[in-house]
Amino acid sequence: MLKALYQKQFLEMLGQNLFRDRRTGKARSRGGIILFSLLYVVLFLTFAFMFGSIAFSLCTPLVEAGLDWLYFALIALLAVALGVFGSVFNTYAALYRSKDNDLLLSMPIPPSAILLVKLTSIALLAFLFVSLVFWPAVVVYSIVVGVSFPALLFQILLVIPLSAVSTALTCLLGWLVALIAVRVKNKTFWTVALTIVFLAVYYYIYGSAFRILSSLLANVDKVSAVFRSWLFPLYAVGEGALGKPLYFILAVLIASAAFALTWYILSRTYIRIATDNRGAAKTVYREKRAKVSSVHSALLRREFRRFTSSSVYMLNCGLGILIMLLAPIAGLIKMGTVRDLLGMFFQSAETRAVIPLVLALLICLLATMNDITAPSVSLEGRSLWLVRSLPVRTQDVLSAKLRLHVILTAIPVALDALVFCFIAQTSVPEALLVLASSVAFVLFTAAAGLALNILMPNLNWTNEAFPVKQSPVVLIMIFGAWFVLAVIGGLYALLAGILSPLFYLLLVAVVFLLGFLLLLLWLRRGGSKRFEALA
Amino acid sequence: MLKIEHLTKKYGDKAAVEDLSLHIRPGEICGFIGHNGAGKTTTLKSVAGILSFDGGEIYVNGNSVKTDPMKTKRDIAYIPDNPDLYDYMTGIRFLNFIGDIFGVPADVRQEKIRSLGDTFELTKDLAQPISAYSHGMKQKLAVISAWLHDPKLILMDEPFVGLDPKASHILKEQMREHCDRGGAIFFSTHVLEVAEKLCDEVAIIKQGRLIREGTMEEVRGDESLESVFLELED
Repeated sequence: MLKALYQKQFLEMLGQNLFRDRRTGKARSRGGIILFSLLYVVLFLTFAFMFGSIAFSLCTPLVEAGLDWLYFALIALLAVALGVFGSVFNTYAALYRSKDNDLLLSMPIPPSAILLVKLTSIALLAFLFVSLVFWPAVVVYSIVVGVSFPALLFQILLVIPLSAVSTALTCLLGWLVALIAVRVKNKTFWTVALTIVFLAVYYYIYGSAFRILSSLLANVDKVSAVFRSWLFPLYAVGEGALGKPLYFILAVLIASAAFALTWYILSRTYIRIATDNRGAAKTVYREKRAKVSSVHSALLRREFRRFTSSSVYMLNCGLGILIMLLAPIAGLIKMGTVRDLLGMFFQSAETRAVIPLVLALLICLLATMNDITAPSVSLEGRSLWLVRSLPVRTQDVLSAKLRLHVILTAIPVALDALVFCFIAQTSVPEALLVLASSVAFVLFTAAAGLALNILMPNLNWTNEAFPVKQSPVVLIMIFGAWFVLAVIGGLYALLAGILSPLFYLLLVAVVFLLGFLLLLLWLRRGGSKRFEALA
Repeated sequence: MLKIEHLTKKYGDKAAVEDLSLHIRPGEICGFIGHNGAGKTTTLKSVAGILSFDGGEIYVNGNSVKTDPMKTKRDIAYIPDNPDLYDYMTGIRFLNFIGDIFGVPADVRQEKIRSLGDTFELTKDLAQPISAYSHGMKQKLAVISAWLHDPKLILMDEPFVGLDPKASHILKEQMREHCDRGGAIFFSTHVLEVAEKLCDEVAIIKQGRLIREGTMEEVRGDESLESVFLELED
């Protein structure tokens, strides 16, 4: 029975992505599978390199201080933090809001088994994020210290217990959100609000732990004492990674206990939460005068409702809105410090000229947290027939998706550009250029996300988390956008002597705008045809 | 009202519908009968402009579905067999969305929603999200949305599945009234008794090909529709 459930889950998670074309439903060719595998490998390696660099900066000083175990403990802490961040936004939906819940619960399957399968799928996602941090750190350690057995084996295997801990934490957060969300009327709003609040608290505690640990680093005895008592699981991971079997076994046992305990706690309330509808109190319809709107605004409103009705969609694809709105407030509060820092880093007039470029890249980086268009076609799901049967032009349907992304991203981006430029005391033309290039980037990424989703849609999902969180389109959009920004930064470093930063920024804006126009052209022609063929 | 000329639709090498021709005049209710996978849904979706087709032509009220899909879609309402509507909207928002797309004036819209909502006993549930609706309620909402913009041709795929006996009865009455006002209805069904009582015309499809078509009397003769259908199926 469990085997059948796992097969269903894995088919949903991987099968349709890697082995099956989601548009045609046909098996991918061998070349297609290799191409997709390569895509994931490239993404993995890019991130592995990034986290490897962080690990490298930690490794040498800690190894020199004889604190090899602390290196692994800190990396484990970072890995679990990323694991939680990577999966917490879809935990509630993945656990409790699957469309196949009724079907599964109607079959002679213990709810605990259904839950275990769902926990495993979250654990796999956590495994991906944890290994992104931990394995590069193992490579770095092997380069700095050398390879020894069985330490290397333990280091590689430690990713499994760390993923289990990350899953336990993220599921407990999701469970807390669910416990409250089932009791309230506006589930979506509260799910989003509670997830953000819990996550903020979680990372505040994490940040504090890091700060305390950093302050203790000078005193080796104190660090060891804290880890051995308060943070023993991390100490066990650190010592286990050095090849000590007893500590390794202890780390595995602690992680298994955390996972099992989470499973036990969640299974006791699983059916109640998954089938609870208390919050959905019946609202009796009272007739109001109907407001007539145009086709364009009706389609835009439809997209807006789609976005605001789903906590998974908002948390995973729209969290940037909140961050982009909070960033300028934080910047204004800490304006003095920020100006001091800018003065410190950009002392000469020559380096100060780079500030607009840096600001634009920073704002674009924040904007990459919004990828609203990337799953928007997939989210049409089984109701795609509706928009196809209505007398609306496909390009208008696609345009509504684009407009939603642009409205929700470009407005905070514009605010960031103006406030950041004010804080950095740039000139008006510089500020306008920062604004133009950031908005051009938003237009480009909005169109690129939509185009990619038309090319790689997934309309047959049982849980919104699949198209929103585990779709290759979303991954490409986030990591691809980061890559593009890194290239822009890197290219400027090469061309710094030839081009002025302002001219370079203007060039960047023009390129993004051209890219957007080309994509728009495709969306109106080939893209529209492809979208129509999806029904 | 509806003219299907030599319609062919293929999925890969397999023809789901082959050389199908069918005419439905204003005022007619045409029942579309066939076994599972015979090509009924494919035909209906092609007429609704949801699926593109490989051969032939479809005209709705004189306009080609192929070359003028916007015009034909304005004259059509389509209700699928499994109405996956927008779960994230409430019933009333969904109806207003449909009203906006078809440009139904506010007062007309309001009056229609009120009368159809009351007829199908759905008015008090219109403020609920569609995700909270039962299959039957979604079906009723789909029916109301189909009638909202006063289409000339209504396409329905198994419209009685999920409806309670009272709602089924009301729907049949609505269908008749629509055709008495000059509209036309093309619907698929497995319930042969319903087809027998309700339809003016009947079309039987087998493995993508139309094997019998005509008025109910022509197709049935002295036998029951069920006997004719089963004979043809063998």
